[in-house]
Amino acid sequence: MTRLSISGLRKSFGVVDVLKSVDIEVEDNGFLVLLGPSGCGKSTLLNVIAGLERATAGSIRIDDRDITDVEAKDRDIAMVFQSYALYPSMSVARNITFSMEVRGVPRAERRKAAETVAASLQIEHLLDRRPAQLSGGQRQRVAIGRALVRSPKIFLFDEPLSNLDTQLRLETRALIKRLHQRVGATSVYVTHDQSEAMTLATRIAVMAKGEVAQFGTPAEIYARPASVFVARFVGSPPMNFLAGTIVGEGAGRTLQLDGFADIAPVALEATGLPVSPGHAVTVGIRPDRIVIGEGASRDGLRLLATIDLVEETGTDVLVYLKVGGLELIARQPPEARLTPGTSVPILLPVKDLHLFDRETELRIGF
Amino acid sequence: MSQSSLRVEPAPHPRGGAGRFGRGRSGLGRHAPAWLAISPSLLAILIFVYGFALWTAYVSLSASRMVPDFALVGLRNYERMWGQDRWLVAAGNLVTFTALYVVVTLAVGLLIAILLDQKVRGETPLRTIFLYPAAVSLIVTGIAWKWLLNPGTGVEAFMRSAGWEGFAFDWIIRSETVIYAIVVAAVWQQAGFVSVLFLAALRGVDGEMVKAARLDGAGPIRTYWSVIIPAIRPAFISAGVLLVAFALKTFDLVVAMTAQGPGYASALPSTFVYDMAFQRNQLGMAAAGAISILVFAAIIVLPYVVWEFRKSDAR
Ligand SMILES: Nc1ncnc2c1ncn2[C@@H]1O[C@H](COP(=O)(O)OP(=O)(O)OP(=O)(O)O)[C@@H](O)[C@H]1O
Ligand SMILES: [Mg+2]
Repeated sequence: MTRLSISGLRKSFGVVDVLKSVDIEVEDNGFLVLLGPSGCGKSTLLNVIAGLERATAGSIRIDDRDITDVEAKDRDIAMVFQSYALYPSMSVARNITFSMEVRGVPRAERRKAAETVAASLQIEHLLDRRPAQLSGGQRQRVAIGRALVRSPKIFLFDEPLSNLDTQLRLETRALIKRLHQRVGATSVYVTHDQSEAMTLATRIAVMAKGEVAQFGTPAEIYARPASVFVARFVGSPPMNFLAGTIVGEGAGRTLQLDGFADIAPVALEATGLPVSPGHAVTVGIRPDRIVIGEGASRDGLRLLATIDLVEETGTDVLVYLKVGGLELIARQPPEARLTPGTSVPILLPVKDLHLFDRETELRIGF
Repeated sequence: MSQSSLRVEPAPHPRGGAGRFGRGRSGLGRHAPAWLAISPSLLAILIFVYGFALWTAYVSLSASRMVPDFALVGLRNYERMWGQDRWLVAAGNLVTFTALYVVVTLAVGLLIAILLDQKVRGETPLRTIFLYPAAVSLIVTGIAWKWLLNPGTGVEAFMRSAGWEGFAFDWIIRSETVIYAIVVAAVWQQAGFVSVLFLAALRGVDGEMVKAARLDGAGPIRTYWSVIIPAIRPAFISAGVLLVAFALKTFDLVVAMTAQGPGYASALPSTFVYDMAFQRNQLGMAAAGAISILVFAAIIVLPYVVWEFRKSDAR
């Protein structure tokens, strides 16, 4: 049973506030992914959790024990680093069991532990090699083994896959997922790759400039992004954005796209959003929700678009559309037959629209 | 980090075959421009280093006295030299001096580097201060330390005048200890230089690796000993090889500091060779001494060369 709770956590380096009030809760056996752009403070947060950096304010608790001021080595937390951080002068076996060596565990016992862990990572045959004689994927397995051998309460991962090529990344990602299912230890995983986040996480904390922009399950974050930032960051290709204005009142309330006066506005009453007339909004729609063609008799914004570019990705087709002065990306099934240069009608279904306040960039509604 | 920063042989060309100018021709012709480019320095080294080394070897086997004499006398010069107490003292001093100087300088240099690496304020001026002695001429170092270590003028006199009557620090005037006095001055001269080498290496150590060691439960001393110092091993080898070379060449320090005294208690093979060649008209014996230094150098360097070759074979 390990629950990690972080509340009101702040971290400053001198005058620079790198983390500004972070609140996060990871349930037992949970897999939290910290997702965010470079420099938003993900590694700093991980280091503070590990005890490698001291928190400026706030508290970190494991179950009911406050560990904010506990030494790194006494927190029972293991970490896997982006650069693998293996000890170059030691064999793989010694790398894995260095923590036991420090604690004075006898050699035979260490060897046995190294063999057990190596077997679970399929690196038994590498135990007597040096890190320099390993490939990147093998090194990352050793680094994971070094964390596993300690059976810690919490695993931390700092972008462990970012130095691997695509194939290895997928393999190692699956390995980490399997390990987590088997070992079940509470984990915190840093990445700026949203597909990694989506596949591994039970919870995602999207971070922006030292704050948690949204904290929720992967499905929640994808379906109801809390802000324009989150909506843009999660999902590939990213969500399309258009400017709009709320017109009318009560039941007759409609959404009008700015710059498209000739397009019929769409009635909003069905969605019951708390918006007032004249409210400036940002309208978002995911690429896979744009309907190309006449569509059925669904409610939504109907526009006329020009096909600018068609990109086959193999599994589906990305269509770059020009609408007025705007560019939209639509994802279509691979059988779609679309010719660049032609005009097509498109539909933005009302139930797939995301509305954000243009001023605060926060989501409007639930 | 380059594991083989001191490998003498050039790194093999990445594609293993045709050189930079190669057009697939075979043999010497393919490398002709490269050979042409290095030939002046190659020729100079062949003549002035290996040529003269061979010539010295020949002289050491000849009857040369004041001027070269090409009559071969076998190993007589060596026999006479090894029969002289002066040479035995010099050779013994060289072994003591090299061992102590290299080990102590590496240790002190590492210690300074580790202290400087603790993110101290004013690191840059400190680094300059530590590096400064290396820029001073060995003659100046020798004279300064001569006064510092002289019981009548230096540390001993100072401590006694400060009230510590029984204080004794007279290594430099006693024949059993004079070589240690020279080690002290030589270490002072090079420790800062070595610490700069080590500091650069320490700065290159992966910070995440140090964090990993901390999470593995290792304290600062354990982390330095088991993780950081092994990681900067290449810097140790570089510094060690440089120091051995300095040690074998040491000459001016002894001349300035003790003039080989008391008696000839602080003589080194290099001062012995100088004496024989230029003061005593014993060119044959001087050459024998020089060749002995060469052999001594080979004995020190050989294990390293063998080990390096083994390692490259293993790849
Ligand atoms: N020791 C430090 N002193 C001062 N500023 C720091 C320090 N460490 C990190 N920062 C700053 O904190 C911010 C967050 O850094 P951090 O390494 O946590 O980012 P990150 O989210 O992990 O980014 P990346 O994805 O590039 O790894 C950066 O702007 C960085 O410059
Ligand atoms: Mg980072």
